[in-house]
Amino acid sequence: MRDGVIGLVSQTFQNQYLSDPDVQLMLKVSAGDNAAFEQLVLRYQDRLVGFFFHLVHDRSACEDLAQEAFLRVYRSRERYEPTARFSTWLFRIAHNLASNQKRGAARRREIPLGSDPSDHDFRPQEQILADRSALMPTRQLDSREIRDVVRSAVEELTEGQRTAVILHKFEEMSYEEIGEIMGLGTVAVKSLLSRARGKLKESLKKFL
Amino acid sequence: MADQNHNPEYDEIEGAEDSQTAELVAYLDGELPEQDADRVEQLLLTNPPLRRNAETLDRTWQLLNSLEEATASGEFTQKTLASISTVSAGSDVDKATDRRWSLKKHLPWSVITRGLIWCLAGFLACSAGLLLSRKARRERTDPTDAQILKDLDLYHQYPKLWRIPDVEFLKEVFENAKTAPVSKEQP
Repeated sequence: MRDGVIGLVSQTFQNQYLSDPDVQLMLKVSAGDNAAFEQLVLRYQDRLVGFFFHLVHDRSACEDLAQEAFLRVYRSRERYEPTARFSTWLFRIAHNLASNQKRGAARRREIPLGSDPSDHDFRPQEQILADRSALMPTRQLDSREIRDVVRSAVEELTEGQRTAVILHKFEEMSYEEIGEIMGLGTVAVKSLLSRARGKLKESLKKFL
Repeated sequence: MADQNHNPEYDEIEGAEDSQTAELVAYLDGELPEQDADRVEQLLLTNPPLRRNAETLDRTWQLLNSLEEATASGEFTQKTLASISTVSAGSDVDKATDRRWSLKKHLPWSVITRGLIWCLAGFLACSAGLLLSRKARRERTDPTDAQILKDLDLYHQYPKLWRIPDVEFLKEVFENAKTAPVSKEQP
């Protein structure tokens, strides 16, 4: 009786994702339809490459990571069950991949995936801005310089804050979706993003 | 689902957190329920420092638009699809291996025993056949050849025997051997 109820609830939750067209494509992939997989790659390749690019800032590395994420999707096709929206599932894979890569890179000190203050010779954002201002006292920083400073400010965030910011800002994901991807509750995501925005505000206050 | 995968590494909720800022950020992100959003809007109307903070936070968020973005290169799709075809081929091999293993796993003992008995019977039959064929070959040998084989030792002694002049000589040697004392030193 109890198992029956649990099964029914589980089915109900699964069914709510069946309306997602990408879930339908993934179900076709699990049934052996490689053309459906190609469609998914075409739909998500730019988003995935963009997501990794914000983390690694290296075009070749971000494409390798995106390709690996798609490979993982393909490898798990036979076990696939629609327990979330396809995009949530895909970005969860991407997030895990990025976290593993980050840990691996930290051990090997090979690929800098983002940068933590402890990872290399770190200068506070304030100092970078001050240096730039000292070099160019009379003119405004150009867009490239602003971009570099903003990028440094984002890199100052913790890994969790950075991921949450990228998912929310560039993937336009809700707190709930970000929570599902990162394995967090909505309140924790709210806190991450609030702290991230506070930190960014501090780092970039000279531009505001 | 999120709670099942809860990762304490990211759990940054601390007592010192500015809950007002968190609420303001959630408002700007459109993540507040309608009632809470209305309340924050009222606060913003009546609280200029809070309004300035909200504007700064919003401008901070807009600055992220200056970040460089990337899209997949032209060959990304082809490369990805080529890599999955390798996976497909690999998984076919894996499946074949799995089938072999599962065959071994699920084969009943009676079949295995029967197979072993048949193997043993085959081995015994082969051995018996081999023995019989050898015996038959021996029986088929020519009688002249058989005599030659029997006298083979004698033929080996031939270089010594051809020096004997006649039968009388042999008789004499035989008689001497009978009468002469046996020497222990000389064989």
